[in-house]
Amino acid sequence: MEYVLKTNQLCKRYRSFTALNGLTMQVPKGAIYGFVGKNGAGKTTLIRLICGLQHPTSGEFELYGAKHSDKAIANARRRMGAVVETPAIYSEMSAVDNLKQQYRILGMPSFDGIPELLKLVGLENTGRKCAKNFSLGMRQRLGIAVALCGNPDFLVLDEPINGLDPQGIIEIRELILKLNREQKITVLISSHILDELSRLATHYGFIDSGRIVREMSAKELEAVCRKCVRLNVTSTKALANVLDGMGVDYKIIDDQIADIYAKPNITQLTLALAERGCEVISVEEHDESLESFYISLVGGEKHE
Amino acid sequence: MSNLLSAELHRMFRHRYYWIGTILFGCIPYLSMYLIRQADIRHNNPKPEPPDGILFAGTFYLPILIAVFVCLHIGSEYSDKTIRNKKALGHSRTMVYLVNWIVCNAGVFLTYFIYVVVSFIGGYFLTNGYLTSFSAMCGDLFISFMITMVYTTLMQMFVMLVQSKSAGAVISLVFAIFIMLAGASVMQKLNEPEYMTADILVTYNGDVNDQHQPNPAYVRGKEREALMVVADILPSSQSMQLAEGAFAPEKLMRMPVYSCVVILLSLAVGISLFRREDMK
Repeated sequence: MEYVLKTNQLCKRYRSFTALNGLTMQVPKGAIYGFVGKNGAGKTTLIRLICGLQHPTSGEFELYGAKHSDKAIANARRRMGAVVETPAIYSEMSAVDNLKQQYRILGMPSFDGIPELLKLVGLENTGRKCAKNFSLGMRQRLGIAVALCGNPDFLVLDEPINGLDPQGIIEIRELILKLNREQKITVLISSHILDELSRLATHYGFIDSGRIVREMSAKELEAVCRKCVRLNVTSTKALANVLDGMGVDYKIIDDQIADIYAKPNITQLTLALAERGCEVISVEEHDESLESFYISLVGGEKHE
Repeated sequence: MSNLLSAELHRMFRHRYYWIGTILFGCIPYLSMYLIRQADIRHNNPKPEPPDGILFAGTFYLPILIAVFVCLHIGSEYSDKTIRNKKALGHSRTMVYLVNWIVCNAGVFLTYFIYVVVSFIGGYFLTNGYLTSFSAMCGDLFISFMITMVYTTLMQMFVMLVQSKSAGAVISLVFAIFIMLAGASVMQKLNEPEYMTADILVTYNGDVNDQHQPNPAYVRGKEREALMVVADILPSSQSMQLAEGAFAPEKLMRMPVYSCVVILLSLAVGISLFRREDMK
């Protein structure tokens, strides 16, 4: 598999505080990589390092095969667009002027692509309105448009839906999906809003205390978080016998609780269990969300 | 670098606050000369005051304007976080620092150049012209441009290293006021007369003796030499010497050399610290 970004044992320390502690991760080309972690886990720190805003204390990372210490990293960064925390836009300029300024910094010969870019992010009708008078969602979209100047192959978005209203969240989500599907842009998106991330990401990296605790694809996560029926019975031994006979996939949690990864006929199941002297105490549909998976991964209460 | 430079120059020259500041600063010498001219007419002064002192006096007040300008131009890069875009696009920190230095100097040079042109033209139209020769004026102009460069380099260093528009503005303004007061204080000490008003002593046989009382505030010996070096290094005291219009020709060479050393040192320190700094 081809990777856009690879980090190896990346560390970043601020005096006595360790923000990244041997972080190793890989972002596959063409993916929407959901970078999941609670506040202070090290998500923004990693993005700052990738963007060259800060230097790693130790370890290394590669962007399009260029090591962070090589001079080639400057060219690799030209293939990347980023919105770190808040959108980096000139508040005294209009949307068009902001994009023109970015085009000039990039040394692009003409401004021809600007109307298309504004249309893509839905800001084509903002006219001479200064960015300081934009709503948060509009600023966020303008930040993404600025990051898209120069047609990057890799887009880094740090908490892009923070503070947005539901409509704004939907707009940003659709924009990211459109960029990924239509323009084949690889997206690294950090967030702690897991439900939203689960609608976008094709790959996940779970970060906790400055290190990746697990990396997986969306398919792998789906398998882990698949829907099940949780049964509370007097004997899971009897239940296992019945389920084996029915050829159903299940998992015994303890002496009384088991998860069944199917939708069994409850009457048949109850009757079969009754024949073996086993009572059904409760039945509930259970699905492990990304949220509960994340909590189980990083260890719930300890991290609250 | 040329892309970044042209983008930044474009951003600076399209900013209305820059032009408002430049026009207001350019009005100061004309207004000063007009008021002096009116006072001369009112008092029927047969010998109007020459405007030489006003021509380069602007450099003394310039640090305030430079502090405001540098904070607005570079500080907004930090408040709007747009400095990240440059780094994220692969521009090196040294390049970002140098481009900002060039752009700020270009902006300040233009503002000051307009001030000088207005002073020069106003001086000939409103007064009887300048006593200083044209060649001496060119030398003074060179020194004054070096002074503006020193101020700009130092202010830029503060704002870029502090990484905050508001904190940078406070530090730059405090520095501007401090350096103006320091320069004024040094020049005041150096300008103390060596002797106080003469006492006249008439002896019994009718002889008249002038006795000059030494001025205790007059700085002598090595301390004076040291103060003179400080006066030649500090941009504010350089400005005052320019406005006074009377300094030895060797200073024409010495002061720009000191300015050059300050500029190069500030640039070296600024760039090396900026390269190491963690940007937020």
